[in-house]
Amino acid sequence: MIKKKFFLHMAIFLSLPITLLGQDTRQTVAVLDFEGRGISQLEAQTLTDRFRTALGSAGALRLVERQMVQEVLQEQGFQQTGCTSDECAVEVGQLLGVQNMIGGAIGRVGRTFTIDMRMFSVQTGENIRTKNVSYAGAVDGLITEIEILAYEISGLKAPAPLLAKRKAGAPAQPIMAAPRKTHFGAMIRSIFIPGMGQFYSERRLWGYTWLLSELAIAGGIYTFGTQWQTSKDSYNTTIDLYNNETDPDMIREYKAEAQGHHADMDAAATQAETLAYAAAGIWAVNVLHALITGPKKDGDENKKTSSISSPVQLVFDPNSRATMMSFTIPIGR
Amino acid sequence: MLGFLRCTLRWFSGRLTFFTIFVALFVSCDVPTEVYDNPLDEEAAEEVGIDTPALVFFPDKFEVTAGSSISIQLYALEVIDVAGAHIQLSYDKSLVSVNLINAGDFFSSTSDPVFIYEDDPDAGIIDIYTSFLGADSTTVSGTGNMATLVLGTTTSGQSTISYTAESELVDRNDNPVELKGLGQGEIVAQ
Repeated sequence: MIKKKFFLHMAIFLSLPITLLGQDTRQTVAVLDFEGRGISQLEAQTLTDRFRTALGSAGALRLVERQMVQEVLQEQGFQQTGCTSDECAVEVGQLLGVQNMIGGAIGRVGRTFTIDMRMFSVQTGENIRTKNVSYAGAVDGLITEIEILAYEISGLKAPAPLLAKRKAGAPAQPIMAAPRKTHFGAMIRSIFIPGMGQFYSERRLWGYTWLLSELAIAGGIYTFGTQWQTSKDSYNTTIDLYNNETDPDMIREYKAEAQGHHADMDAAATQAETLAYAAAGIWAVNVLHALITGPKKDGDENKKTSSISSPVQLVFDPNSRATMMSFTIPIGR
Repeated sequence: MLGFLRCTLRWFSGRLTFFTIFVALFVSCDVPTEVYDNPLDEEAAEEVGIDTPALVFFPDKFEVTAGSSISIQLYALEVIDVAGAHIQLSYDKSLVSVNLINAGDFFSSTSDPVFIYEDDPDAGIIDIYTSFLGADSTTVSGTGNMATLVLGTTTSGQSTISYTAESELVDRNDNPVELKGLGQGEIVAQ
């Protein structure tokens, strides 16, 4: 057993400087399997393999084969997933005789995946380059992100096709990337249905106010419209009787009756007209209100929710494409 | 009811556009102009320049198809103490013809009256004579039907039938009763 270890170490120590450094100026690097947090270890290993492949394709670093890394880890008694400490990584790197090591973790927070990766010097233990990225989408979309990271960790810019693939496929979506509500959007909705713009703007009280106002007026118009129709029918019937009557007394009676129905019809139409103007006025004001007030701002929401919301929140920064933890302390009112 | 449904439906559909509300609502919920034109309505007759007592036609407007018949009644409107009448009518002989003339019920309410008529189709003139018999005959007042004409329309066109100035009403002593208005009938055959 001891003999076997001795030959293995000798082979690594002798072969690496000769084969890797002797003929190539590129720095040597070994990649430890990424730690999976929230995804399966199998998925993490698959993504690590893809990372190694992409790292090899990038060509900026000279990569030690996974098989060789695994042999050292087994020899040292580590499961690959267990070698997550800096000391372990440095020790493995020294045994492999590489200059740098790459390790990292792939995490999942809700629907967002995070990839944290670093390349550090085996000799000094210092970080040479660190990368992290957040990605929202299906797990298979991580492959593109991993490939891009392979270039970036090598100090190279990812090739355009790869970047285009990210853009066309499942780009990293910020958590806060919900469609932005606008004043115009609120106005358009209120044009079609009174109060709808206010509901859209999360001003429910105003929304109900406008909607119920219009419904109440519509009810009034319906009532007066019914009265108008009834009076009109009665008027037409009475006019027919008046026109066909030859008895002067009945003529006078029908005429008075018809005049009464006509007055009722006129009054109902006037009332309906007034209400229609009111409906139109309320509708116009509702549209203007939706346009002017617009959607509630974050500050407005915080006013209501600050008493119950947690001071610690996970937020996504679309600029740095990183998930961040926000801690809020209320100073005073 | 259909009108109101149309009115309501248009109102709701009008919500999509601002101006349609007004147009749809106000066009549909219209209020018709009051028209009281019964020729036997004293007020209506005065509005068209026929003061009482008068002789009028009922109805006074006809719209019929050419070749069809019409029944038109001759009315005394708001007359006082009338015992007899000579009614002379003028009509367009080229468009209408007289089919039948019947006595009305104005003078028949107390006893059988005399009723004589003569149609001159060449001149387009009808003469009707009707009265109570005897010197102690009663009189009638108010509004009543004196005769009914059945006319036939011979061809399409517009024509009128009217009382001539020869028409007169008399009291029991054969003295003329003042007539302040003479009506006119309009016949449109299409």
